[in-house]
Amino acid sequence: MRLLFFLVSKNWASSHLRLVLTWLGVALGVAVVMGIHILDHNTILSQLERRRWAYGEVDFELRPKNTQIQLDAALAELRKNPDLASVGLLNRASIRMKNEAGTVARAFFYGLSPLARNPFGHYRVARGKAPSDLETENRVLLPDTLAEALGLAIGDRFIAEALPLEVLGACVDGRLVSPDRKEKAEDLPRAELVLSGILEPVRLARQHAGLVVIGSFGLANHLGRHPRPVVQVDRAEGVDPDRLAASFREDYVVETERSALIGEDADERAFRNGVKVLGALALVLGMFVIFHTLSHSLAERIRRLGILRSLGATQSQVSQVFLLDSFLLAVFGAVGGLFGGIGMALALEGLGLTTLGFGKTIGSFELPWGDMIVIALLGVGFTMMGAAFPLFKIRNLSPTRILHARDLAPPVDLMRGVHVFLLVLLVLAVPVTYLALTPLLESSGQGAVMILVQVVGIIALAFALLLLTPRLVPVLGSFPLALFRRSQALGCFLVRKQLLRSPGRIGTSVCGLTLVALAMLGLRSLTASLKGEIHGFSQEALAERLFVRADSSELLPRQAWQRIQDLPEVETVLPLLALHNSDLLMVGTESLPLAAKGGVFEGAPDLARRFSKERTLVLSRRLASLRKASVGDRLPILVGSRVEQYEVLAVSDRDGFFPDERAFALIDLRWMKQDFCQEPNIVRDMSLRLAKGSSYRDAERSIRKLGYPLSWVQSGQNIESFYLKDVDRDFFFFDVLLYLLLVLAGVGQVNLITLFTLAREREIGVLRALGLTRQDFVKVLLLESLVLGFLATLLTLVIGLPLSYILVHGLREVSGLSVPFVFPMAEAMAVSLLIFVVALLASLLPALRVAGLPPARAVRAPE
Amino acid sequence: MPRPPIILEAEGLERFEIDVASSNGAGEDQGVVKILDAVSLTVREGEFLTIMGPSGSGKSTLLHCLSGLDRAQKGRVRLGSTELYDINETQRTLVRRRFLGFVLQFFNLLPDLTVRENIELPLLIAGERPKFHADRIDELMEVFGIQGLEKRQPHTLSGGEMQWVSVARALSTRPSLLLADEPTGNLSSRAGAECMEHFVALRKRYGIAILLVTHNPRDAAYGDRVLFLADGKLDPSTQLEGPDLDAAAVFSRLEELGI
Ligand SMILES: Nc1ncnc2c1ncn2[C@@H]1O[C@H](COP(=O)(O)OP(=O)(O)O)[C@@H](O)[C@H]1O
Ligand SMILES: [Mg+2]
Repeated sequence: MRLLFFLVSKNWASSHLRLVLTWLGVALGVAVVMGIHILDHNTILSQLERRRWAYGEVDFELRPKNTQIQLDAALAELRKNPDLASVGLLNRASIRMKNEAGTVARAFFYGLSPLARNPFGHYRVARGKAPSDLETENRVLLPDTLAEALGLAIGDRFIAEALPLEVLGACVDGRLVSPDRKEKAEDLPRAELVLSGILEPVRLARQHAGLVVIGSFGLANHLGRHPRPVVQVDRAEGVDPDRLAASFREDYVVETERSALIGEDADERAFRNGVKVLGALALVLGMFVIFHTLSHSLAERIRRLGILRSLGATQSQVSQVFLLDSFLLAVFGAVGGLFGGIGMALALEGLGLTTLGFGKTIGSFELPWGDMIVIALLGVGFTMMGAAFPLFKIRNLSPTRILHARDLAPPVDLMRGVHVFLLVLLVLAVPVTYLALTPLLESSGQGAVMILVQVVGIIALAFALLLLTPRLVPVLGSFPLALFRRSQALGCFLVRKQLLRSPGRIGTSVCGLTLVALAMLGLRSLTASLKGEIHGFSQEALAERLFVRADSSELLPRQAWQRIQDLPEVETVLPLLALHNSDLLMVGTESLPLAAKGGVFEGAPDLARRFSKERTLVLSRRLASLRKASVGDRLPILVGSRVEQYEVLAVSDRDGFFPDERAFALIDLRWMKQDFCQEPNIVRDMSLRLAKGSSYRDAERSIRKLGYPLSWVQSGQNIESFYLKDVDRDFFFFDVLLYLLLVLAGVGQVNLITLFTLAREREIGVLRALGLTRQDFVKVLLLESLVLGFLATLLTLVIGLPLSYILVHGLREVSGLSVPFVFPMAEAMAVSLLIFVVALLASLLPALRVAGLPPARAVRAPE
Repeated sequence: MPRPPIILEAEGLERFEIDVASSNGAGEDQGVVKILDAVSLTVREGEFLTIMGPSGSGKSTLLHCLSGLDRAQKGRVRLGSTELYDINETQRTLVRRRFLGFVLQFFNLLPDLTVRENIELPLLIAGERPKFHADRIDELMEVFGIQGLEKRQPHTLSGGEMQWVSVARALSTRPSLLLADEPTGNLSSRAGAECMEHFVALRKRYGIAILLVTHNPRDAAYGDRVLFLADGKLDPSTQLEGPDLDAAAVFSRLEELGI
């Protein structure tokens, strides 16, 4: 043990630079992975918290499409579903409450089943206790304010009765129903209730300004006039919410509480998937850097090991020394990475970044210790593997062979075989495990996974080519060298020797840099393609359009549409009446302008006729692809308490774009009235198609002159640029992550070159003694990094093109956007340049260090 | 007969190292070890000078300081017409390149380079194209009897062969002064003797000046003149010179000096 610690401390004292670099490599590798993970954890946590604060831990609400369904049977079925953690029922009823003194209050009765167990956390009891689930139970919970208003204390009794229908109203055939005869008060369903407990003012108890009663499901059914029970479900840990929702769509109308609109949901999913893939990339790269830093740092010191062996140390003694050395380094590195990761997450959060993009706020900063420890352990594990690899390779070599291992006998390549090992481990095993643990959120079956497999496949293929056939390295490297053959004969000569001597090391560096470059390029091509998609959309939906929104106090009556239509600058007016119906944004409009020039029904008057006569709709492209619906399909739409089938007449973005939301369904205003009782002669929004040659500004001026109170006038052009900015803003987060990864790759690079140069100290001394100047030597190192940059750029471009194509294709599959493929040539050049800069910068540290070395000392360096 | 001009002149070279371990007692000199103590010497064109000193006497340090690989803290070195310590590091390297060949204590061949590439290396470093000097390289390889080894890697050579390669390497740029640091140190006595014969032959053939340091009296006796270095001090009055210079004479002088 004394020997062990003595030798380890000597190892460390012998080169501070090596020590610091190795530590930095491990720490940074761990920190980046850790930082991303912590940030993601807190982002999701805050999202959940926000939702839960407002409601309860409900993932989906399901409404049976078939209203005649046996609820009990359906429920039993759902309870058997292993993907669900909890299943419950909820029904709402509007009631009137009366205390003994005759004070009356209106309230919403929430009937829950199960009630007492409260699996979704719908409520919290402040005082008293929750009633049981029994059908006959008449005990309920009230918020403090309501109890006070009625002067009720726990244990007090009061009367609750259903609201008469004429008060309640219901949309039947376009009219809020008031039945022909008034109901007799004594016929109304009623119940005598007992106050069992007081609710904390959270979740359900905060709804409807606190006018809420919570009791059993049976009571709600009894008091409710139009029973519309919903099934509430909470998915089991780790179950993909989207796949789950899809599995219910056949029998139920699915409402997500996560966000009201399906489009926003899909964006968030895509974004988080991106973060996850980048997280996997960070993991791979981090572990790659860690492994290589360690294994090279050890391989370069392998001669010491030979000396120890020749002095009588056993193989296992020697291994212990080096493994202890790496273990201590790994632990210090992991601890550094832990704090670094926390700092990084804090910094990113401070920048306003979340793993759901900009503009979401993170309220919490919680550290997921379990995961963090796993990441740290992973770092330690890879460090140890890196250390063990060269030791494993020399296990059967005699001490004298080891002594000669580096200096005299290049054929004994310690790192041979490491690439196969790493390729299998890093490119396949790690990402697969990672993604198995944090599955991608998908909206379209196996699509996302397939894309990932393709991406990994193509990268693995290219890297395998380079790493498994190292002879390619000197061959390819000779091209850039040819440029300098005249001016830098010596440099070319030495670099070529380097390429021949350690193609594996150089191939490794190239792959590390390429990985980041590819991620950057892939991202750029996604951005470029998304922008291309926005451009395409804007051509169809935004060009020559002006969008107008009325002030909420005074909406736009039919007469206003007419007056605007009469303006010379305006070609057609499309009134837009938006309604959020379950998870769908429905926009009511007129059929006439749709049939006009440029409209979706241009030249198809029979379609326009059907649009207003039958239950039909026009889907925006985005909604169509998200719902996988096409022309002729019938979509079930929730109408009051029933479900009506609406037929898809067309899929188009030409008309009806509702500012801010691209997933919507257009229906005729007539049906808005018929099925949803929306007043068809007043709208808040309008989309105007401008007459040829008239400018936005003129049109806006003329419209404002009409004197309607408008809160918002936007040109299509403005909206397009807003969308484009949105893309940039969202991708900024990825940019930040990628630059972090680039730094990581750069540090790995610095490590490799420095360790290598340190090991060559003596050789460099010889060169100096033979007349090589410092400047000459720096030039050689720079030339070497130039070759490295060249190889990385070459590889990036060769893989980048197909990779970008796959990514964009994948985006198309997953997002359902008709994204064109745009390869960002200028950005590709910029990325290449960046790679060159990083490669050059990375060789600067070793270059400066070597330049500062007195040659006499180098010559004396131990052999 | 006029004496040939001086090619290397050193005066009052002093070199210290801070020695942390030997901080015994107080005073100004605390912890400072003198490795070279006011060393002066000259080498004339075509001269074969050997410096004899036991291990640790400062021979390598002296050669490093003379060649400009290192600097002495005090004193001056003139190489040709250049004051080595008045110019900067890069300029020193350029001067060294032009005038000096260096045979290092250990063979110090570059492992990835073939024998021929090792020999050509200084030419490349000097910015020349080895192709244009192929004749001389061939000749050097012939002189050292290593023609057949051209394509071999250093780790396949014997100790003697490695040393021939490293001497040939030092000569490839036609230096006017060859510095050799215990060239026989890692050789068998037969190979060592052979090596010394080579130096003698080289001088005859190329008229090159040689400054060789050694701890072996037999090797030292090959020189025209032998200087004795002990504890970093070099006393010119103790030098041996003349026709009856042989190993025995060196031995007896060593006895006299008590080294
Ligand atoms: N960097 C150093 N620090 C302290 N002492 C040194 C250093 N380098 C050399 N020495 C000492 O200087 C003396 C001369 O070294 P060196 O010139 O290598 O001797 P030689 O070549 O004659 O064997 C030795 O005693 C050695 O220990
Ligand atoms: Mg020496």
